[in-house]
Amino acid sequence: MSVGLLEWIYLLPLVLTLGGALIVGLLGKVLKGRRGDIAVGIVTAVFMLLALFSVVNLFYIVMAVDSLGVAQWLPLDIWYWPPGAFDVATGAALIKIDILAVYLSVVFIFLGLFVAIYSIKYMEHDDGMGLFYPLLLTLVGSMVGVVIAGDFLTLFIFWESMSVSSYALVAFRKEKTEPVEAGLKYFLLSAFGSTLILFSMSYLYGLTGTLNLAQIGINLALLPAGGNWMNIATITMMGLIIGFGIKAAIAPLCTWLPDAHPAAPSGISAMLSGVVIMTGAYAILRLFTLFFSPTVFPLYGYIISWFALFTMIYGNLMALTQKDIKRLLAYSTITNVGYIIFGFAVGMMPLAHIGNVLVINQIRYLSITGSLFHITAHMLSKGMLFLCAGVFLHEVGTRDLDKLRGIGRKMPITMVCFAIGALSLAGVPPLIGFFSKFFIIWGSVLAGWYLATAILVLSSAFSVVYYLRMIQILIFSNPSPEALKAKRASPVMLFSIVVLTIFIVGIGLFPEFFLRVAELAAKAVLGLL
Amino acid sequence: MIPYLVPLEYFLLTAVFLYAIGFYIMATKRNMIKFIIGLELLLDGAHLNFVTFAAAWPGFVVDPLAQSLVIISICIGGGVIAVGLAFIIRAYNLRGSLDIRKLNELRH
Repeated sequence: MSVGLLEWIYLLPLVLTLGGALIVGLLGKVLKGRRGDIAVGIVTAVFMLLALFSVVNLFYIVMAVDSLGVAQWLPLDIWYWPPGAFDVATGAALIKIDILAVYLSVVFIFLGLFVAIYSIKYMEHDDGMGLFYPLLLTLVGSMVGVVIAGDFLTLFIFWESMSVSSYALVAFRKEKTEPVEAGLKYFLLSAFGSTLILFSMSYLYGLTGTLNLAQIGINLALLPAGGNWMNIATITMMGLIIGFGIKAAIAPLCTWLPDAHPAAPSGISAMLSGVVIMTGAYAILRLFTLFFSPTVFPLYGYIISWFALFTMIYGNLMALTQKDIKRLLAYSTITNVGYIIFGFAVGMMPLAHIGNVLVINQIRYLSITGSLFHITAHMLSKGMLFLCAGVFLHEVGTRDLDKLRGIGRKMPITMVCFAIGALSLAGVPPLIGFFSKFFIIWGSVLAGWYLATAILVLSSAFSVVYYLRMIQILIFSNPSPEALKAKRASPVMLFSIVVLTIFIVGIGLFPEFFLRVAELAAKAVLGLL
Repeated sequence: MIPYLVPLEYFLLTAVFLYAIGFYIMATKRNMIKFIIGLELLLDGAHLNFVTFAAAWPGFVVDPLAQSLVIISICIGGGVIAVGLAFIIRAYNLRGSLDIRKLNELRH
């Protein structure tokens, strides 16, 4: 065990969220009643804010290291065997922090902060809030752990702790039937996916003899091309795509998502849709770019992109006919996962027909940049839309679009934010969603895959139909009797929504800084820095 | 390499069998408790694979990291299955049955 003071600074985001979960859990035991719930919620938000500061601090450390060209990954041995007994370089449990990890940590903690603030008011009629906030902090902390994991042991521990806390949060209202059934469905599929990941990784471990993610890639590259191990690696690849794809909600495996998102409390729907499923996309990106060279395995990029195209089409078609607002948003999440995975897949293609290695790398990181930026765009927009849907649910008590007709006239601020979020996801130019999709499309066009690009553009245009339909029903229809009774949303909930909306418009107007960071993250994951 | 009393392939085949049985249970059974048993078998298949490969580690020691992964994963699996059983108890109290097909609230 040797953790110096400096290393603790690197670990602060983890310590503040997971340690905060412990403290908040103890506080929840002591403080009871509505006032206790509010106090616990505020303490949670403070921990999230501190974690956000620490991760921004980490961002500057990593950026400084990168601009000096010292290292893209800050290797950090938090735990290793005594020297001499064991080879540290190949087997130690590692936490590795690079720009991609910091970028995604900022995204996760940012949404976690606003969900914590939002839930103080939104969950006012629920009991057991002393358990809700620790679970939320554990969820955020484990997601940070997943993105900074440098070996499979660390990744798996945080992956499972993230999964378990999200199962519990989906079924938080355990006295109702719907959350329990949706949670059970989510649990069965997701736990199966975890075992598939473990099983696949056991074969990769057998092939390479190490659990270190970077070392697995290096050892795989040393194996002779065309050997018998290629079959095992291909099976492993399919297992990893399915295992992580269940979490990332790739189309044939996404049946849990449209049930779990509406059934969860709205803040948790925002968390699940905005960030939790993105860990699946992250794991696919990180593991496949590290493990499998596109020149040795030319096909997997194409297979993942076919999955992605199918995901987009499926999400769009299913979203068209939905009457439940949160279910509609859940299906549109599936569509957006399709865009993100598609950008990643273009980054994993061999692109041998282009010839020039420099151009190939440029195309790769361009489309991965688009996808990483779309993760931010989707986190802000969809997170905010789910929070708005939660406001409607809180004030009117229904998720039925027919009964929510014309509610925008009673809640003007919420409705303006809702419209901005929907237009952002539809890809209207000055908003953030436009730029991210633009980069994905640009990368795919440069890669010369015109048919897939056409499907992506058509799917994006198609999705405008249901976003506009939602806006039309919620603002421009005659108010229903339920909607007329609605009161204005409370300022606590509006605060989160308005801040997220400001970021949607602000980053849309000034995307340059965030695009630069996303670009650096994309280069870091491809090893181009 | 250390000569093994039992060839490595036997263990690997057993692991595949365990995984296949678990998958079969998850795919065909209706009883929710049997789902949990299937899940446990899936985990065991993966654990057996890890332990086998750790024993065949190049060098003269068994890979301690893979073994600690298995031990930690068994603990995590216990936690996951406890959460699953909690779900099943809730579903049983709400529906009065362990049949997964009786959970029909979500069919729109």
